[in-house]
Amino acid sequence: MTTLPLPDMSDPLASPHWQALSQGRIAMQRCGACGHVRWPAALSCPECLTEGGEWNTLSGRGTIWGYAVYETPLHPEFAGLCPYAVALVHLEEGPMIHGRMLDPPEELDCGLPVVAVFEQLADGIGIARFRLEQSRGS
Amino acid sequence: MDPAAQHSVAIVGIGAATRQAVPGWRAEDYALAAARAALADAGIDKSQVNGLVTCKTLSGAGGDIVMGRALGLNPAYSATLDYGTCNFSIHLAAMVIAAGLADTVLLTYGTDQGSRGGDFSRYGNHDIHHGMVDAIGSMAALMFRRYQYLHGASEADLGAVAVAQRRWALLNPDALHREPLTITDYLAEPHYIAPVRPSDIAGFHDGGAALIMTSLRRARDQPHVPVRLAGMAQTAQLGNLANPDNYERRWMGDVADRALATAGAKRSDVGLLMIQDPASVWVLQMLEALGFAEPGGAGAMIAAGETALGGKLPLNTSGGHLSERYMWGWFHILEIVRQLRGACGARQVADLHMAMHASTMVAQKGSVSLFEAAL
Repeated sequence: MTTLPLPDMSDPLASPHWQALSQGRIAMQRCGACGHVRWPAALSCPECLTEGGEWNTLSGRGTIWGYAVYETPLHPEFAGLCPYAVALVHLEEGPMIHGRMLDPPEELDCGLPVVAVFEQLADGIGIARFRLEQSRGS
Repeated sequence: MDPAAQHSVAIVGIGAATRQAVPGWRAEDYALAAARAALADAGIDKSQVNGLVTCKTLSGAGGDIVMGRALGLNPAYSATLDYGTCNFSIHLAAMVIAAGLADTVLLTYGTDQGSRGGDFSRYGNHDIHHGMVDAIGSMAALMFRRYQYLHGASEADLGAVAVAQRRWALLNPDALHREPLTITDYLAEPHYIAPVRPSDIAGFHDGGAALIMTSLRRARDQPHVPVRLAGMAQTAQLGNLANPDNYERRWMGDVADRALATAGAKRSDVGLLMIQDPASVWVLQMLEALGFAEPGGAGAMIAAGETALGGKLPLNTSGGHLSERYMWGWFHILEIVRQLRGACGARQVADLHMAMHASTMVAQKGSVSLFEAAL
């Protein structure tokens, strides 16, 4: 499916995140003491320094902070997708992550609400894409 | 430490390396060639250097262990920064001198990323699978999209940066890009990663830069007018990667306030501004965050000629990373030194007293330095 290097599923710290993606969920650690949701994965909370934290399934909802549109192929792997947009999504739980938008670039704008949808990158390895929560046409 | 100690440190020698003497030069070879030029410029021998501050490339080349061996130096103090962008390296050297660890410091940077491939051209791990195939271009595009959303800016507002810096580069014989660029030419370029165009992104180049810094007392004996470090401040926004302010560099205003306070200066004292510009949107963001333009007003300010030769705030007068060459902020400082020495020929800023350099590192660290000629 992909010829690019895949995430290291054996990384004990981050593997729950990658495993959740393959099951169609975005999971991040939530601090048991202060409730801060963190990404990237870490052994302790960067806000209150409490160790540990439970892996929680997030809502998959957020808003577009900004986005870049790839009109011409810059890499053979993505040539067939052009034009496509990659957004920096501000998740409602706080973290910001990148994700490819499934909507046509001309329908996007900063601040619009989006929701995650999931694809398989390779056997057992998933990835989150995003689509507008409500397409502008509807 | 004497709170005024930083006021007594000056740059007395500069060196640049832009061409291979023989094929196959590595990052360290450029740094070494630049160091040789800086020593000659300062009129000193390496035996007078007792401090070494080097800046690594993102790929890890150019550390003090390697450079010290290549230079045959056994200094009283040496250190390496992973994120030099020149500003940070200068601040460290000033602290070393002020603390008495060394009194004459050589600073070096060299890179072979032009021939080896750009350090910023690839995204690691998962992000490539989103289709983010160029880190700097992708960041620039989504940052400018955000800027447009916040301020209603046009693509011509962004283009004003590349056009203005090209105009400066036409006055710099050492600039790599010396073909005229008008806003019409700019807007006719196809997008690279929309909404940014090829002229919005710096290329990757080989080269090196070096500085000699010493106490102002010693600097009086050197051949050139010493360029005094008049003020400095930093910020390290490392704790929260999800802080949207990082992507807009808003905290650079606070860094500028603190740097100006250490110099006892105000914004209107700044007669030359050098902003580190791997991508043009960094310039819009910082010109505003630093307090020199209204939010959303930087593009119009530049297009109106206010940052051009004869304007009220000449900006990136070498052509910057976009048009001179990409050297992680180091050539910006060389330009400041040459301007304050009055050695810039056709692009010389008249009646220049104080210059500011502003730089950021991966939108997390920020740094501002102020310089003036110690006549």
